[in-house]
Amino acid sequence: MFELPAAKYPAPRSGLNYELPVAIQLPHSSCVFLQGDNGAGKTSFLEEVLVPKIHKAYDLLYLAQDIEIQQTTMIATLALLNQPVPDFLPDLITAWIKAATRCQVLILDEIDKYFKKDLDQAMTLSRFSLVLTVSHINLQAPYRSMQHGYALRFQRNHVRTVTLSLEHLW
Amino acid sequence: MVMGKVLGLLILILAYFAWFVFGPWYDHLSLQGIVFTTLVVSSLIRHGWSGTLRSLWIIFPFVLTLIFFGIIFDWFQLMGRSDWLNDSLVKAVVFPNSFLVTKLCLESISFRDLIALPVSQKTRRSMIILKAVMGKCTPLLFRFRFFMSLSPHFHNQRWPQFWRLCAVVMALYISIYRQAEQTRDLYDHRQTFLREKP
Repeated sequence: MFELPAAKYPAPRSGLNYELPVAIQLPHSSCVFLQGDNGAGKTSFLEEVLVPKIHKAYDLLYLAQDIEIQQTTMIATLALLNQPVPDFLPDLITAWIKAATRCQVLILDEIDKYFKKDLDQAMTLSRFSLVLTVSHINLQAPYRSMQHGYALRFQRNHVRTVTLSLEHLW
Repeated sequence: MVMGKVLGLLILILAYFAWFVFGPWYDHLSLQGIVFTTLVVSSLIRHGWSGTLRSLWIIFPFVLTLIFFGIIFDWFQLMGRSDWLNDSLVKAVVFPNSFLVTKLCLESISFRDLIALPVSQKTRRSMIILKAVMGKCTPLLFRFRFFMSLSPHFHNQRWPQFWRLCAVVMALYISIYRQAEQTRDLYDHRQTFLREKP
């Protein structure tokens, strides 16, 4: 479903270079956990490399780390679609996701902390072909409705270089 | 000293508009070009490349629209005129100049300057809140545009780009309103609990 060739991927805004020694091939109904220390470059990789590549081929829903800023655009979107706008942030996120009727990819950047075990119920993860998540709470259970699970590990070897490695989880 | 600085900046803005927008040098493209270059260099010194490009990126769609309509009107010789394109090119330089002059001058007024101004407490409070809100909300515009550029929610609507732009504007309005409320509450709270040094 999604392929990322083995290569070096520069991220000009963050000044980082990502090295992917082995190509990534993700089948349909895959969940990928982006894992690494704080400051390893996970969000930069998402925004500068993965999101632009995925967006060229698929419709995606991106829930960013700065959700407090993004929620304003969610409120505006639901209002313009003439749909109810919940006050509570998790309900707002759920309503926003449900309002996107056709979408193949879901990307979550430290969003599961708002849902924890209710994540699958709130977002119906199985409706997506690909789910990418950055999380520090290490909760895999809500994502088990996806058929394949992977961990994409970020290793900062040098000040500006990050090495990526993919591990198959289930 | 502060009054002199603030008055000087306001006079500079008024002088620019008096000469280069509503005055004799409006349609002197070469002079407008020199002003534009001067302003871009000033912005580069103050904000660096990324800050300057961001400022120009904000006004780029408006400049494009001006030129686009100038070409269309010139092509059809609207109202019998054949100078639409020249007029649009002038406006395409005057608009960024006006934006940059106002932005750079108002940014030069610091919070300390506002505190030192001989104005009423109510006026000072409003000015401080306005500056704080504009400082916080202007960078959000790019983030909102990024989020909405990814949003699939308007795919089924007619003119999805238009609806995405509406969402950006609406989100900016909501942010300004919320930030103004928060900044006002914070300011009032700090004022209430200020104590004199013993």
